[in-house]
Amino acid sequence: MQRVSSKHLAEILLDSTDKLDEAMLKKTVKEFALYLKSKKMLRQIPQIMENYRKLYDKKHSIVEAQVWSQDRMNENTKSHLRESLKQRYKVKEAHILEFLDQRLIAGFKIKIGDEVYDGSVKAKLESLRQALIG
Amino acid sequence: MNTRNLVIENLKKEIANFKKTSSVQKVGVVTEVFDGIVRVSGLSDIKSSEMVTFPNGVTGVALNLEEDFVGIIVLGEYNNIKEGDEVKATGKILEVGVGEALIGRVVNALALPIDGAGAIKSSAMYPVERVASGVITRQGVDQPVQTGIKAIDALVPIGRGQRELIIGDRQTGKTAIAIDAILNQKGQNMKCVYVAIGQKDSKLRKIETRLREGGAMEYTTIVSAGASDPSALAYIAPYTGVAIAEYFMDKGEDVLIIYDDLSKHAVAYREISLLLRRPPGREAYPGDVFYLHSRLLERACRKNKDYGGGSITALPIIETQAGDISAYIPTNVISITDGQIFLETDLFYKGIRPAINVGFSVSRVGGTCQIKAMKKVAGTLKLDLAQFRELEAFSQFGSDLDEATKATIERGRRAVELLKQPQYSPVVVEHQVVALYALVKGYLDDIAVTKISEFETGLIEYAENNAKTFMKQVREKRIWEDDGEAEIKTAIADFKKMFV
Repeated sequence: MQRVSSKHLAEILLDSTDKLDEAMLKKTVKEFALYLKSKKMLRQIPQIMENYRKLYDKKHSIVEAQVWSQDRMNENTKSHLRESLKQRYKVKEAHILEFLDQRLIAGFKIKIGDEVYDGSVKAKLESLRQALIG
Repeated sequence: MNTRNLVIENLKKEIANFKKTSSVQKVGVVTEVFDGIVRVSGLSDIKSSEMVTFPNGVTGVALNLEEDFVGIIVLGEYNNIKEGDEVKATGKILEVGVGEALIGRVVNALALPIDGAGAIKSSAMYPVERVASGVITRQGVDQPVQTGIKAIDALVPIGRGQRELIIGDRQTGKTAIAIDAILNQKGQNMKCVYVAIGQKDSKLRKIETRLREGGAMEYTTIVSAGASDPSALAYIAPYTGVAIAEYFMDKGEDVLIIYDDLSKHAVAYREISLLLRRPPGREAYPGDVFYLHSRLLERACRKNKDYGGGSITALPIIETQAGDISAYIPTNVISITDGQIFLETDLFYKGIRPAINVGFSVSRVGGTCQIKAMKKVAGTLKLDLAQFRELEAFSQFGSDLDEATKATIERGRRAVELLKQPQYSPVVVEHQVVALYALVKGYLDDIAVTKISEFETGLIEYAENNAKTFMKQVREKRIWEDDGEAEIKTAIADFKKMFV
């Protein structure tokens, strides 16, 4: 049997759960999980979830950014960040997931999908170190 | 201004000059680590054979680009890499530092020093994988590589830009031939690169010492991926070696590169391929194992004058199992190269060393790259030996042989004796010509077989002093003239009287 790719399964899940009320949605997801179990494809769940997230965001024009900072961001900064993300990725909505990381010293590190913008002082010091020893 | 302020000023300037790198980077996350292979999710825009870096500074190369993940081989220590580590793409195809500074050094598969003699300041970065030079840039092979081994220079001559395979069982002297060839390149305008793949470090050390003693490290670089290094390094070592060689070729120089040996290289690649779950084929080698070696050996070439006129001569080595040259890897490499030097265990134990089987060894470029004098003496020698082999097998059954047959056999015995040569003692081409001239003109027919080598040494010494015109003509014009020939004839006759 040809292996069904996790991307394909994620597409199916996305299509079949589109515009359902909550009860129907629960039922569909359960059936999907049972199908995966019967086909012994539960191992692929992480990839399916990852792909589903990507496809859903793409379909609904959402971008999700993980942001690390040394301290909590204020609302002003956040909305500013949201606006620039919307412009850069040409999407309607931008979500921010906040994380705290004391090691950054100052500045932000932003991750969108597999792209990373590292504007932290820690990264700048690191590049300085590289340039001086290299 | 005092030194203190000068240092501070310069440091300030340096720091002000830093390029503010736009710090957008592609990253992935390690999901699986096993046996030097790392699976990474993310890294969506990565190129094939792009370099990546791990948190501990180790480099990796992306080999398998699949739908949900990227398969990466780790070039170095992989025990510290764990699940969840961030992997950064560099955007660069794997490249190594090359340049004059590598000469005389021992480096690993990433061209980094392992001889403890300090950092290497490379002149350029060269990609490890590069498409071989095209047809337009090439020309035919017509310059000889003098290996200093009589049997090779006379019977299977190698030209600059040729690819000649050295094949044989274990312990038949394959490496010895390669090392002798390197030793003989002194003063021949040749750079050498010796690539050791999966060799024991003790053997490598021995080779390095030997080359250093012979003064050969002045023009040689050793690239080593040892037996204890991960197979990923063994896999890229020959490509690194040829990248180092290409730097010199691009500058118009001639390079001799030795791959010791490609059977271990194929095994390393098989290991990587199987771990990356690529489908196995014959002898469990992956489907592209032919391409693995053909793209490597195709990078050996002779460039024409418009493109600098440099060359890379490749001497790949293949180890066979119990003389089986029809196994998968040997047949592949035989068909890729322009000829092979076939070494045999039987000959080795009979005392015929180098143990070259003259019948099975060929050079498909051949005579065009021999000097004229050598061509003249070696032409008849090949025929003599072929007849000798046929008659020798036949004569074992009977004792009554006619005079002509006996003469051929006697001549053949002397030829075999003359082609014997101890290790690490290359013979320059004009001396080879003198010895072979004496043989093919029949001067050795009445010398006892056991005395041949003694006679040869004596004759060469005598000729150096008493046949100077002949020697000069061969050395400079590459062929003797009538006066030179007359001189060598009298010299040989005179020496024979003294010798007997």
